[in-house]
Amino acid sequence: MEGSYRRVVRAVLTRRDGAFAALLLAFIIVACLCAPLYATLNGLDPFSSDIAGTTVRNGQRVDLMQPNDNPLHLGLSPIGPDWRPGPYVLGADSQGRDVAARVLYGGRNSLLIASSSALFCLCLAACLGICAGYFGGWIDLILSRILDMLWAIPVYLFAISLSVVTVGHGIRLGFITIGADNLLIPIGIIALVYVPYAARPFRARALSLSQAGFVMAARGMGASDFRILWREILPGLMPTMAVLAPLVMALCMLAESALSFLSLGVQAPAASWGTIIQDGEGLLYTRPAVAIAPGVAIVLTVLALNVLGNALRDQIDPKGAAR
Amino acid sequence: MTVLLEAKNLSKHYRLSHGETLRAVSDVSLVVHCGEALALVGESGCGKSTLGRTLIGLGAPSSGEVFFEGERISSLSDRALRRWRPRMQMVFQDSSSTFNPRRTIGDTLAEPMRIHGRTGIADRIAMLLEQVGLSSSVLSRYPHEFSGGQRQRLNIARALMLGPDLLVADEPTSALDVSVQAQIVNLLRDLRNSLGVACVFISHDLAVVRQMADRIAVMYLGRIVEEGDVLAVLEAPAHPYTRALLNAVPRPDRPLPPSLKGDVPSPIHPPQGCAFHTRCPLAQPRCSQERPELHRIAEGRTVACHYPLL
Repeated sequence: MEGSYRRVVRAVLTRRDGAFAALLLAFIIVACLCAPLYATLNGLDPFSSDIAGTTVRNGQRVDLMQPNDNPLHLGLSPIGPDWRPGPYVLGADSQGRDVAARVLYGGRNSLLIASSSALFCLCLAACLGICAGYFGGWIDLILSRILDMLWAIPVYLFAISLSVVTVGHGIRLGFITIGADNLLIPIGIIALVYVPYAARPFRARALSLSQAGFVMAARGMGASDFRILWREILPGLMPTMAVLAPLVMALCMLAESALSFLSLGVQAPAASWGTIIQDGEGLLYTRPAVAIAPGVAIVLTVLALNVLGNALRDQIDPKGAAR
Repeated sequence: MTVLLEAKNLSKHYRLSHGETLRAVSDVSLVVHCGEALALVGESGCGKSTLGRTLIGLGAPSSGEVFFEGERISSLSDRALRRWRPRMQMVFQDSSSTFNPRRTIGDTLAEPMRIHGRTGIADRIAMLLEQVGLSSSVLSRYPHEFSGGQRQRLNIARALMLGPDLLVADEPTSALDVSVQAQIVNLLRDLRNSLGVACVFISHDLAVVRQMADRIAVMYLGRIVEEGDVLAVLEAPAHPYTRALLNAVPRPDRPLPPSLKGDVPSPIHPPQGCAFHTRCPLAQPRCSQERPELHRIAEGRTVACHYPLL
């Protein structure tokens, strides 16, 4: 077993789909981490409105907001993309902010929320799944039924309901106060709604491990339940964790975009891919790039995560590949 | 000889999902003395493994009691039982699943000592590895790197780590090649002689039992049908089932006698009367109505049969 993780990583990276997904994901993450680089190099502030601002196009200074060329629209339209490196490469949004910079900064929030809610979700799901699978009996019965009930509620409906309740005024638990604009709120909500989905494989794995000979041997040696869970069962759940992580992160990313699009996730002035799509909604006919750019970013990230997850599953759990 | 372990009217029943009950072990009473080797023999599915596990508290009995050095351990909580665990250890049948594939052998062998907060782990491991005939180079390796025989040696070493007074060996040789079987049997016998540990040896191999055990208890369908000194029982069986088991062993000096007819009845619906009467060549009408109790027929010899062969 030693070095088995290294072996799996190498196997995934030598597959064409695995390498493609890993490269794509790495590119997206590095690009988003480099957001301040793009913003400072071009002297941009992606978080404040700049309707009266100007930029340089083809050597000429032009206004960011220009008279509308579409007879159906009145007033001003933001400047469009010019596809050349430099400021406003993807144009500006209705507030005169650089779309490319906002997509990069928004990506940081989207990735942060998706990865931390996936982490929260997997940890919580692992705890519940282990308890249900290992202890069995009425503990399993109660936990499984509760999770089934939660899973019966459509995920997005559940997430939206929770957000509507919490987003307006934050959460106050005794002396702990979480502000309405705190990222912990969308992270917690998204993590919570996918717990029933992720807990099921953990429960199944813990159930089969708890009947393994070495668990009986540990019990015969006098190990406590906690020790058995911690030292015998938990290491055996790591493959499940590795396979689920990218898949759950992809789901979380989609949920985050949906909530943010509905103004129930990331709150202004902060941005995420979902809020930028919402910004672009009103400009869909004149400046479609504003909505399409974050949309493409979401599609590529979710695609890369899913492909990576499938490649990992094929390597770690070859029998599951047939399913 | 002082009594180490005593089971009184021990039963282990499993409730099946459709409301039926599987009677794996029914009303078994037995005694293991200090330093003695007791063999539990019988066909697959007769409940001998379940009995072995229940004896050392791996799974609570449905009814009946188990006493270890006079202390009733069958009613202890899991936490209270943990204090007794070092005294009684088990060698499991399938050595491939009894080691966690993700932990090194050294880690696994040290685990029982760590659980009970013992010190001098490295010395103890080195000593036991020597006793089971393995070098200390195995410690950094993983279970799948070993052959079945080596794993079974490690299994035995682990069971002996805490210096138990009772070892329950559940078919320790059945998953091994014949040549390796002999090594493991010799190893167990040597260890028993040098350490003086009492042993419950579960097996269906009468040749191995003859080498290993002092006393023998023959089980059929969850009940003990005959018990006694191993040589006496194997030379002159008193129960027709014991004789059938012995007849099933091929010998060069005689043609194989006719074997038993039919299959073992289901432990979900055991027959009325004597459980063996459906297959017994000597069955009488009484056998299907009245269950024979274990009774003494000679010094240290009991049998559950209305018409014993002795």
